[in-house]
Parts: sequence; C-alpha cells; structure tokens
Amino acid sequence: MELIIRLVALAVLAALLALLLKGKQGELGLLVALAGLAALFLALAEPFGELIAFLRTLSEGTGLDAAVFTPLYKILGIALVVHLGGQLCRDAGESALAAGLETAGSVCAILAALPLLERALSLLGELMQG
Amino acid sequence: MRYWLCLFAALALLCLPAGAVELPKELTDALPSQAERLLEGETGDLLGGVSALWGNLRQEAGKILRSRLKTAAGVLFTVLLCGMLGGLRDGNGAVPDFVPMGGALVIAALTASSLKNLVGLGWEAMEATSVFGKALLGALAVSLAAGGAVQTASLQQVGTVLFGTFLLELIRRLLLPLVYLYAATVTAAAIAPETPLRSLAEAIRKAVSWALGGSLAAFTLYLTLTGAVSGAADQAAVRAAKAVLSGTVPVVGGILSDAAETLLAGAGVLRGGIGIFGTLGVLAICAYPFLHLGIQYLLYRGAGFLAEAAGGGPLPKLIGGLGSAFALVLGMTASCAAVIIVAIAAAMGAAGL
Amino acid sequence: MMDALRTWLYGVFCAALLLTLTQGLLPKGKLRSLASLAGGLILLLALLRPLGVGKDWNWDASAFQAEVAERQKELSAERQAQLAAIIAEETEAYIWENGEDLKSVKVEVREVDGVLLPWSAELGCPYGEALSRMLSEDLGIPGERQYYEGD
Repeated sequence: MELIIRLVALAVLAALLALLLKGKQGELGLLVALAGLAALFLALAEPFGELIAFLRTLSEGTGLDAAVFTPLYKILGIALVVHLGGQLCRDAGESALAAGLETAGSVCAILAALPLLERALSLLGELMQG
Repeated sequence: MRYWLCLFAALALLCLPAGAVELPKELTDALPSQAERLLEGETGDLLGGVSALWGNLRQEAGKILRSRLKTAAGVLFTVLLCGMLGGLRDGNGAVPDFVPMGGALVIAALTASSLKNLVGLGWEAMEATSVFGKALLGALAVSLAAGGAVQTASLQQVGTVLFGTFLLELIRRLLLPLVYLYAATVTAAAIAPETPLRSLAEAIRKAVSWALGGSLAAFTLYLTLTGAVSGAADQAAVRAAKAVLSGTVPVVGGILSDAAETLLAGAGVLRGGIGIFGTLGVLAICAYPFLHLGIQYLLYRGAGFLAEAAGGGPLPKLIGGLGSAFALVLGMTASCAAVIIVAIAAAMGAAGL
Repeated sequence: MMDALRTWLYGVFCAALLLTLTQGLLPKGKLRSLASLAGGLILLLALLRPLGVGKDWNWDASAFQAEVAERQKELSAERQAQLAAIIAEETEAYIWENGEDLKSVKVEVREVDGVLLPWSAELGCPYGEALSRMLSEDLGIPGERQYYEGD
C-alpha cells in the first residue's frame, strides 16, 4: 500500500516538474519524464520480482518445460517496453516514430513467439500421425 | 431402449404389494436409523413406501428450505449491493472495476461453507448406500440363486459390489476434488471474465457429468450382457436338471420338482420383498441429501435469474455456476443410488427363468 | 490413473491462471492479441500433455473371475442346502401319508450324480414289508438304508 502511494507521489512530482520545464525547455521536460519512469520501475523491481517468482511456480505446476514460457515473457516485456517508448515518442511530438516503434515491437514479438509456434505445430503433427 | 423398458417393467413389478415378507435380519440391520424413521408407515409395496417416505420428508422440507434460504438471500443481497455500487462509479473504464471482483469473492465465501457441508452430507449418503447395498446384494443373490439363476446371481452381485466400490473411489479421489476445483474456477472466471477460465470451468463440469454418466452406462451394459449370457447358461442348467429328474422314480421325481417349485416361489416372494425394501431403503438414505442439494441448487438458479434481471455483469453466471456445483454433488449421490436400484431391477428381471 | 488425471488438471489450471495474470499485465494494443495467441498455445500444450496412461491401468480380471467363481460355489451350496431341506420335508410328508403306526420319520437327502435324492430313512416303527416296499419302489430308498425301531 505504501509502495503505490510513493509511486503515485513520484509520478505526480515528475509530471509537475516536466510540465514546469516544458514551457521553458521542452527537452528537459522529456528527460525528467524519462527519469521519473526509470525511478518508477526501479521501485517496482522487488514486487515485480515476487510476481515473476509466482509465475515461475505456476509454470512449474503446469508440468511443461520452462522454455515454453520464455516466448510469453518476452512478448510481455516487448509489449511493456514498446508501449512506454511509444508514449514517450508521442509526448515528444514524434507520432511517426511511435508508430514505427510499435511496428518493430510486433515484429520482435512474432519472432519471440516462433519457437512456441514451432513446438505447437510439431505436437499437432505428432498427434495427426500417431 | 428395450433394456430401459424391461428395467421399468421390472421396477413396476415392485409396485405390487409384497405382503408380510420375512426379510433377512442382516438386511434390516444394515439400514441406517435415520432412513428407518423416514420409512415409518410404509405398507410393504413400493408406491405405498414412496408416499410414506414423502409424507415424512415433507415435514422436514420446510425447515430445510428456510435454512438454505439464508445463503441464497445473502448471495442475492451481495449482487444487489454490487449493482448499486457499480452504478455510482464513473464510467470511463480506466480503473479496473473492483466491485464485481469483491462481489464474486463475497459470494464465493458465502457459498464455501454450504458447499463443504452439503458435500459432506452427500458423501455420507453415498457411503451408507454402499454399505446397505452390499447387504442387499447378498440377500438378492441368495434369493436369485434359489430360483436356479446361480451364475447370474454371482456375476451380478460381485460385479455390482466391485463397480460400487470403483464409483465411490472415483467420486472420492477425482470427482469431489473436481467439484471444488470447478467452484474455484467459476469464481476466478467471474473475477477475470476475459480469460479462458470460464471455458475451463465448463470443461470440468462436463467432464464430471460424463464420468458419472459413462460409468453408469458401462455398468448397465455389464448387467445386460452378463444377464443375457449367464441367464442362458442358468436356463440350460435348469433344463438339464429337469431332464435328469424325468429319469428318476416318478414319486421322487414329483417330490423333487415340487421342491424346486416351492423354493422358486418362496424365493420369488422374498426377492420381491427384498427388492421393495432395498429400493425404499436406498431412497430413504438419499432423501435428505437429495432434498438439501436440490433445494440449494434451485435457490441458486433462482438467485441467478433475479441477479440477471437486477443487472448483468459476471455475478449471475457465477451464481449459476456455483448452483451447478451443488447439482454435480446431487448427481454423484444419485449415481450411487442408481447403481443399487439398477442392480435390484436387473435381479428382478433375471428372475424370469 | 486418477492421480495422473488430477496432476493433468492441476497443470491446466495453473496454465490458465498464469495466462490470466499475464493478460492483466499487458497494456492494450496490438501486442495483446499476439500474447493471447501465445497464451492459448501454452494452454493447448498443457491440455495435450501426455497423461502417463498405462501406469495404474492394470486391473486384475483374474481376481474378479476368482471372486465370481467363489460366490457361485457359495450360492450353489446354499441353494442345494435349501432344496435338500424341502425335499426331506416333502419325502417325510409322503411317508407319513402312506405309512401306518409311525411314531417318527427322518429322511436324509444326498446329492447323487448332481441330483438331490432321498438317501436314507429312519422310521419310528418296527419293520413292515409293505412300508419297506413303498420306500424302495416309490422313493428309491433301498432296504439297506432303511432304519427301523429296534435295529
């Protein structure tokens, strides 16, 4: 509970600062926003680690190979990073860059999912033969 | 289809009064006292017994309804409260809607202890049915064998006891845990509606229904097949015995065939009495759980309809799903009872030698 | 078999829960559908995981057959005993009807070549020619198995 209050305070502070700086030096405003984001994620590192540990327990419970879940985690990471990066680009007024980033994110995500698709296809092939 | 018709015809035979038949002591002792109380006033025929059972049960029905109504009312109140709170929220959708989540958890908590109690009640009835069934099957086998159907009697008794044990183990080790899993999954699906959990819950429910239905069908098939095969063998044995008799001294032959007829007639009457007592006994043992579970299921269905009318969301489906959990337990109890009743009907049917 | 099924179901449930949590973390956008696809495939893999069938499927049919055979013997023996009692009763009744000056009659029934027959008779009266003939002709009890008073 205290964590979320701290994070909210941090985000609001960074937003105010960025707003103040936007009028005078827009670039600094963006940097402040970026710094605020970095601080946010640093603060979230431990809780995120706990969540990952729980997901790992669940993945062990499924009885499947741990490598099966790697594509999913990669896609999750790509989605979060792309989303934030895209928003930052839009904040900087570069929506074309944001769109390009999103497209790149889709491509990377599909590449990350390929091993999983191959695995599913080979299983289907086995079932159809046997 | 024909088998089911024969089954109903055999059960209809049980509707004829059996008169004052002297039942084996092990059988009457095996009936639990609660079931005996429910059968007070039974007249010796099936219909009379069922009406005596219903008469005794009706007095309890009101009490059971009132006790079950509390949980359903709590559930409905939660839904209405969530509906009200949901209406107060601003509709921009940015903040996840915690109200249905909270409501789902409250409903699950309210249902949890009812489910545990009723599962316990159902399980007690299933075990009592099994114990009573074993004594009943023994007595039925003896009376069936007395009529000459020795092979049929032994196959039916051993097969039914084995199947009953298997069904009880299946329910205890797999199906009852699955009911809890189903209730949990249905709750999780209400908390996170856009996930595959709803389909998983449906799959679990279907799996349990199929497991029960499939087992009963397999058992009925077994009885039909063994009845046909061993029935033919027993008939051949009886015919062979009659042929041997015809080669003996006329007076002796007459005495022997009279003795066989006497034994057959006596066994037939006894079998009828055992069949009626057995059917009524099984119904009496399962009466309370049936009533409790049935009323709870109907109340939850009703609450689900009312919740749907009061305002949609994931909660009406949750209530319906939890009601289905009670229905699954009812189905399990009914299956255990059905095994014994089908065995009784098969024994009645096999008597036509 | 049941343990394998429970493990399998537990695995499927864990997979579904994992997907639910992951979906919750994903921001709305194009990648969400791709992540759903990946999640769906993982769920499919969890569902199709081999159940390990064959471990405890070994149901011993011979034990069942042995039990049936034993029960058949028991039921047969019980039926024979009941039948023998009725035959003895009816034979005694026949002797009472057709005998004279009888004080008591006791008939023993035995199985001969698979058929229950009156074997011997103990009569509470002295030897009588007519009675003895009736017993051997009508009931098949030969003279050496007829026991009279004073024997």
